[in-house]
Amino acid sequence: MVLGSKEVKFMKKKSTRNLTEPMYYILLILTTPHHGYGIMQKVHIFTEGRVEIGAGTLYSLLSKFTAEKLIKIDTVGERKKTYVITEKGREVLEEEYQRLQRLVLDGDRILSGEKQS
Amino acid sequence: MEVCLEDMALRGWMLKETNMFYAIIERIDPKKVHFTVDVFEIPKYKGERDPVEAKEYRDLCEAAGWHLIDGKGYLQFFYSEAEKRPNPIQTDLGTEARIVSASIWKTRVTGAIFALLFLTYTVFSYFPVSSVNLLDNWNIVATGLFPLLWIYFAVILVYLFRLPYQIKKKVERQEVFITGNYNKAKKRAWFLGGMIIFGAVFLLAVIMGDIIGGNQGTVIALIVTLLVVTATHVVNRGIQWKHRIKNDNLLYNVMGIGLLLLMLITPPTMFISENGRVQQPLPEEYPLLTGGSWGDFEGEEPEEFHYYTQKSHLVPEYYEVRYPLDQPEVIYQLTYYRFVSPGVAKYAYGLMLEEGVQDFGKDHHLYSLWDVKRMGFSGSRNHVYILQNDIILRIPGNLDFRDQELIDDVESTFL
Repeated sequence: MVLGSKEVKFMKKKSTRNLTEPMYYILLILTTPHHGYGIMQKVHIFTEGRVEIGAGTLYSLLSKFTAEKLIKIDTVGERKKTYVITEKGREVLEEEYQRLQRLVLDGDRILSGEKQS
Repeated sequence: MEVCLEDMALRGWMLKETNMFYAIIERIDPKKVHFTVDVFEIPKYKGERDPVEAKEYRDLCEAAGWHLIDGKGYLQFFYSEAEKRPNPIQTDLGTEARIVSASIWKTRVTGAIFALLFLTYTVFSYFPVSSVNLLDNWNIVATGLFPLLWIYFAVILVYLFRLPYQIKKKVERQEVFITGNYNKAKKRAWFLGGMIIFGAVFLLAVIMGDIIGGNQGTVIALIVTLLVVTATHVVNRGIQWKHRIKNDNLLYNVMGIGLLLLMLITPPTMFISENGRVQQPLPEEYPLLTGGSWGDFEGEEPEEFHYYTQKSHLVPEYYEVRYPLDQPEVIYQLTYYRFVSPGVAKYAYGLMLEEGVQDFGKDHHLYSLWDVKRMGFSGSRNHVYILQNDIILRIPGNLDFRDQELIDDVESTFL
């Protein structure tokens, strides 16, 4: 665990509607079944290394999402469990997607307006 | 901690095993090793750590390039010999902060509860000051020592709660918090380490004192601790000397020497106190021998001819003796305390009153017969306590206290 002495700002805790980047990408990747390490790799490839998900973070989020029924265990193999998103999880993901789109649109409107003026 | 472990690996020491109480360090060829310590408590299932959950978490870490060293507590130690440091185990700061906060809170609260239980036990063992406490040097020391210990623990408890409470609140408010650095962690470790050692010594002393009894248990506890601490210190120094490791931590040396001094001074003090209580034969010139018809005895000396020269430094003379009072053929048991001064005797009598002795009151008719300062019955009315100058005498309560012969005998022999 490396926190060092740097300042850390925390994101909103309880609401799963405002997803953090790791949360968002995990749900996104789990639209098709994946096992834990597969998720980490897929997020790395998908974001071209911009977003990395640590093993501990992934484990905690998988546990949290499973408890909140946003994802479920798809298969249990000899060594690995695979997870997949649930209907509820997909709704949360869609909602977040819409929110992010609105953020982009709002940003576009103001920033492009600034450029025009 | 990670910086420290990496530094040690570069100097040829590799962490092999660790738990709450110790760490095993292995000699290796000096090399660059990456370490990471993750705060993670394996979920429990029916009171046991869920092996499936533990495996899943550790497999994920393994796949990410972190190999587990040990993780018996909530701290999980990993290493990696890869050229490039693998990705951190925790990458979402919000999630990490909540895990750290919850784990620290849980651990600190558990520690604080144990400290509180110990504190309560000691306070109830030695407070309020009782008349019995005055009779024993260890109890006198403890009576003075435990308020100091209490203050020490109170400071520690505040400290134990402060950090996790601040983190918890800041996590709840989604605010910024600054974590400690290596130097702060080292200082904190010494502070808490000192608390753990002192706490363990006193806890052990109190428990042993209760199990074995009085000073003996305490002495054994302190000597055992002394041996363990000394042996650890000597082995540690030996290893450092063998491998030419310089330890420039002044605080470590000061604390080590302080602890050793405490350990070296305390047991002999206890032994001196203990030796003062060893039963010794009653000297022939002792006035009690002439006070009654003890008669001639042959063979083994009877028990009543032994007495304690000293119970404590506040009670330089104390004995329990059988004595023929009132009727020569009936032997009564008396307890005699001579205090270091009339003031201490008066204080002790006052404590006895608080503990249930009922004073006869100034107007009681017996005061016209007895030339003593105070008299009172025990709560069960089995005994009478008499205070005169620096002496308190406890005699059976079923005597005729108006009998002038008895009064003369007691006053002339004991008071």
